[in-house]
Amino acid sequence: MLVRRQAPFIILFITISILALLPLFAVLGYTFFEDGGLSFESIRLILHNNNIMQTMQNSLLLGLYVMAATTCIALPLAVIRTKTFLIKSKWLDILFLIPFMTPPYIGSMGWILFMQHNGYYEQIFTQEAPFTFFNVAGMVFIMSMHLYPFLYLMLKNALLRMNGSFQEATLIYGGHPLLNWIRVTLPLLLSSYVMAALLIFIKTLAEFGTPATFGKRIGYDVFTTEIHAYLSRWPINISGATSLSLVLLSACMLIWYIQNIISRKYTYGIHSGKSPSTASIKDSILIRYMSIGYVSLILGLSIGVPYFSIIVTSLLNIRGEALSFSNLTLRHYGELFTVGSSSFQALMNSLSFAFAAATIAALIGFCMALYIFDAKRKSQQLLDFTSLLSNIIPGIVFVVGLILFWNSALLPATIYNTIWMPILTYIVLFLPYSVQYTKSALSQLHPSIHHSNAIFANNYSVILLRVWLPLLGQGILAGWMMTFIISMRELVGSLLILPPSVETSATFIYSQFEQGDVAKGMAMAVITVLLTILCIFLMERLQRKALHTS
Amino acid sequence: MIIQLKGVEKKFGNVHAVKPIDLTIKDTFVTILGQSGCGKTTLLKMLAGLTDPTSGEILFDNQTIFSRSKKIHVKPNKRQIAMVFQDFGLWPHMTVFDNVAFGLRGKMSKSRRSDIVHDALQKVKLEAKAAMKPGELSGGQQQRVALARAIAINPKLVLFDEALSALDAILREQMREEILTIVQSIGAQAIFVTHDQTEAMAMSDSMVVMDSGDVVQTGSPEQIYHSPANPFVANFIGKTNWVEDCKKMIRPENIHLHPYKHTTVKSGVVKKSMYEGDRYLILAEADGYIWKFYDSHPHEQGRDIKFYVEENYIHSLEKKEALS
Repeated sequence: MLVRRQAPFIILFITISILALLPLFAVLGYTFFEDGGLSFESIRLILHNNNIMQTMQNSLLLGLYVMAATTCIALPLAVIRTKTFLIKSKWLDILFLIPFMTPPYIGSMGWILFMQHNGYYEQIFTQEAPFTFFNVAGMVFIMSMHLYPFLYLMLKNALLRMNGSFQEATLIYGGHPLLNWIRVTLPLLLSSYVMAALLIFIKTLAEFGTPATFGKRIGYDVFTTEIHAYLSRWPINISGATSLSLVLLSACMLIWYIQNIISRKYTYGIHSGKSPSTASIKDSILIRYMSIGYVSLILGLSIGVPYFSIIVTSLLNIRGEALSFSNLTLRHYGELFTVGSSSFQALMNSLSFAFAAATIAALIGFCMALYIFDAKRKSQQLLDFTSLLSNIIPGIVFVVGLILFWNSALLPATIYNTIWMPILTYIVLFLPYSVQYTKSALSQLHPSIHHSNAIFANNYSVILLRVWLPLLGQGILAGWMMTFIISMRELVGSLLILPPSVETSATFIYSQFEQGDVAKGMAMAVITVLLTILCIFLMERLQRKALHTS
Repeated sequence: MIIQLKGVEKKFGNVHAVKPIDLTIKDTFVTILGQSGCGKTTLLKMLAGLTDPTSGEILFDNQTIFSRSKKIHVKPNKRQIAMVFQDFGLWPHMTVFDNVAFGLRGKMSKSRRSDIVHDALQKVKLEAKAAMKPGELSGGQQQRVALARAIAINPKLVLFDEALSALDAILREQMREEILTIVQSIGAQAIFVTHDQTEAMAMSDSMVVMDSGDVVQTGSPEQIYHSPANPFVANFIGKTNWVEDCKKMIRPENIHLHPYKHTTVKSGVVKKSMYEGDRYLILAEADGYIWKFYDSHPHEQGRDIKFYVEENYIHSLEKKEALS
């Protein structure tokens, strides 16, 4: 009886344990257990290493800088999008998603190609840049240009929710607009801001693409690149990698914990039923031009420049020669799509791994979301938390754990060195997306739908086929697409975990950029971002449709 | 059907949402009345099987449908009940027809199903809307669909959870009558949960009044109105004049402006006249109390007034408490 009632939980918990929990325990075990006994030797060694202290400092400083820079970019943007005539331009939000969805290593490569010696900047302006780009500031800039949309969207949504009767009440009871802003808007905005900013911090700590490309050039090592180096550079130092992973993990958990406390304490229900009237907004010409100018500047810097660089590079016949129409060619794309070439093979690998990972993740995520439902019971909360672990814990930590776990001598069989390894890795890393998309589709339904199901349906398969699939289908599909696009271009896991002589588009771009034919790599990058943008538009349409029907 | 609750209670952590209840329900139309948060919806959900009681037993016609100690838990879809929700709970992606037909799936042939659905939609006068989605209908029409869905499965008991609260006042009164007729026509029983006392009195043969997780009084609407068991019930249902601080009370309609048999006269000052559409509610001060009664025309504020209190209708709450 008990076992039968708990069966869904047990099955799901075993699944999530194999996927995520056991690999994490493998990291712990490898660090703290030596010859069957508890040992703090390896973590002590790591902490006494001067290099490591430098790395830690680098990572944390980078996080702080990026947090500050994204704030400077995103706050004005959010204000412009909610308080000026641009409030109606919903399509802008899709554009702002593009830099966020662009793989950071591709954006970073775009900026490197643009700013490097003899790069496109010097070719266009026929002079050297008046400032040095290749330093920490440049790196902060590139990462902020990738991450600001996240902060912007959170702030914009918070501001929009505040518009209705809150705004009207402030107009009636408040004083000077600036004082109203300070007394009402900012405090209500604070919790959204802190939550988003801390997530930016975590994302910066966990980021691999930019440090691996740009950071490497300026000699700025961070956690992720160090861990990668420990595992890929001779002599391989596994305990170094696990110890460093643990430090990174603790830092992220700590920040996440702080964020939780803040959000619990300072989050208010700032939903007001009435939507604001947008017709009354009349801006002065100056504000109009400044808004348009600022939005264009940000879009130009975050999309225009890097996309220009990668597209031009992928089209150039001979690099180093002038930018002219006679120097353009589609040769690199031709090679890319030649059946049997290594690049074509890499692209196909990426697509098929991503397809498998997205499909399995969607299935698991759907079951998880249905079980978690409203997260009232302890077992539901436990699954909710574990299924979202990879949102908090940096991907590279999971990758280290997965390598250790699937190489463990205790396992009767292993998928290590097979193509299932990258697929499994992508599932682990991106499971939160499919869980969250399904959960949010579920939460938009009236709570009594569940009661209706319980009372009127004669068996569970009817509920599944007639209610959940049609109602949640769009959410599941959106989650599937999200998992598909980010799996397709995932870099750090692929670098470490792919079986020998198997390449994906991400590792192909990386290796061609580092030592090979940059043009070929950039052609692949263009294909990757085109697929990404296509998926963003499809997802946008799906979600709009889903909102329309419910 | 005879519904029996034996020591049924529900705790959420440390919160005692429903305190142990022993109750037998036999009447056709029963209302569970109480303020929000009194546990009435939790009680209804336990009857439906949507929430499990923390302890106790529930019996339908002497058959146990829930018992924690005996490990009996009949699923909601096997209890021969139907439910109508405040927010309707219709599946937004299905047509009206499919919503009503849903409970019949897997039970009968397609043609029989279609007949029953048309029959149910006819009863709620929505045959013409069968092909529409719930989102295209008005609130009142959606509630009718929910009602049709409930009667289509031919339940022995229909549960209504604040079913009329989402509708406007005029529609609400119209639906009251319709619900009673329709439920009667299929020979089912109904239990309504509501916080609206007029609705409760108008719709039920017997009432269950709840306050902070406790059943405080059961009985016919008339019994409860005329002899409330405690000050809470007296204040909650109808308007009350307190004669002695929360010990004796009298309803406003038993105070008159002309002498009758067994009346005592009081002299006071008019404080306020409030128009209620069909009559005026007059508030007057006498003996240090505010008295409420009705008249067909307003009285000027500050005027002296004489009124007559029917002694026989003064209800003492103390006796009741002593009895129970």
